[in-house]
Amino acid sequence: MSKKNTSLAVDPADLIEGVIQGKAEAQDSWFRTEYPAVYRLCLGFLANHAAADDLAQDAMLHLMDRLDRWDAARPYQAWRTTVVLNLCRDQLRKQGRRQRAEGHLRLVEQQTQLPNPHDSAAGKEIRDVITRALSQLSPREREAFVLRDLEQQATDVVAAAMEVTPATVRSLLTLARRRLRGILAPALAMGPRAAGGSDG
Amino acid sequence: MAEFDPLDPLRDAWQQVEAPQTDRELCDEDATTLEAVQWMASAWQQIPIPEFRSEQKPKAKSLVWRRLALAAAALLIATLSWPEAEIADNQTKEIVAPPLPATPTAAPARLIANDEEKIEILSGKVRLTMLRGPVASPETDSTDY
Repeated sequence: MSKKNTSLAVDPADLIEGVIQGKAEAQDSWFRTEYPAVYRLCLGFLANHAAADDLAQDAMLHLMDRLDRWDAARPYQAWRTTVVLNLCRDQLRKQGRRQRAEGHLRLVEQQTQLPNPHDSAAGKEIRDVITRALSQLSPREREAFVLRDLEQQATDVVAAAMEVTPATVRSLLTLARRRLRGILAPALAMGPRAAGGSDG
Repeated sequence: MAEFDPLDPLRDAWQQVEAPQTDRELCDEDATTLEAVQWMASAWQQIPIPEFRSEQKPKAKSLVWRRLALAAAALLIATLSWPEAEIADNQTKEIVAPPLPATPTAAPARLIANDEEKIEILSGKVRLTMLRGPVASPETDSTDY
């Protein structure tokens, strides 16, 4: 697994207090740290780059307006994740989209090599592959998988954010992983593409 | 004697089949599943983050002060417009109400009572009674009929 995703390296309570008080340095630090994490969460939950791009902007404003409601007794990451998760769920309900492609387990019509996951130059292609794969999970499976396996949050934190039990999180993870195996296995069998290579 | 059903042993074996755990840890998954999850996790870190498009990043302090400023402005407008509304009302009354004719012969006012409880003044047919006592509200501290 790659580097652990950490958010707010400084004490969240101190940083957020600074943000609420309007300290420029605290706001910049919070913004620079939180925005990438919030965007990734939106991308993971919505499985759509354009929708995630739009919602992440709104989510940052939404979070900033509600920072004073965060209870320091509760882990900040769990609170932030819950806020973003609820926004994404609302977005999905409004759109009325069916995120689960019944019986459609192929990533693409033809088997193609997956881009090298460590190739920063293939960022957009990687993003497209990830969103297409995630779009074939159910919303709940996607939430559990994004938070646990991609964002590497602890199971109990994921459970708190999703408002389910840890056992439910583990069950959803099992389903999500198996489904992704079916989606990616044909491309994985071809071996990863070398960094800097192009498809076709 | 019960008739032997050749499917009975199969049914018994069927009931003994253990279902795989539904909440497995990642390390308990097969190699292909592990590879798929690891590819996704590695690729996740390479996703490009789009630029925040707002012209100016929102500042929490400015939002708080903006709300206070709006509330103060609303209060100020309400306060400034209040006497104007009264003046407008008075002007309206003055315009609408015709001037009262002057009383040709006004009887001189004379004090008819002045004690601990009240003061009474009589002027022609008009009697003014003012009650002494605890401080009353402006609405009651007025001419008593």
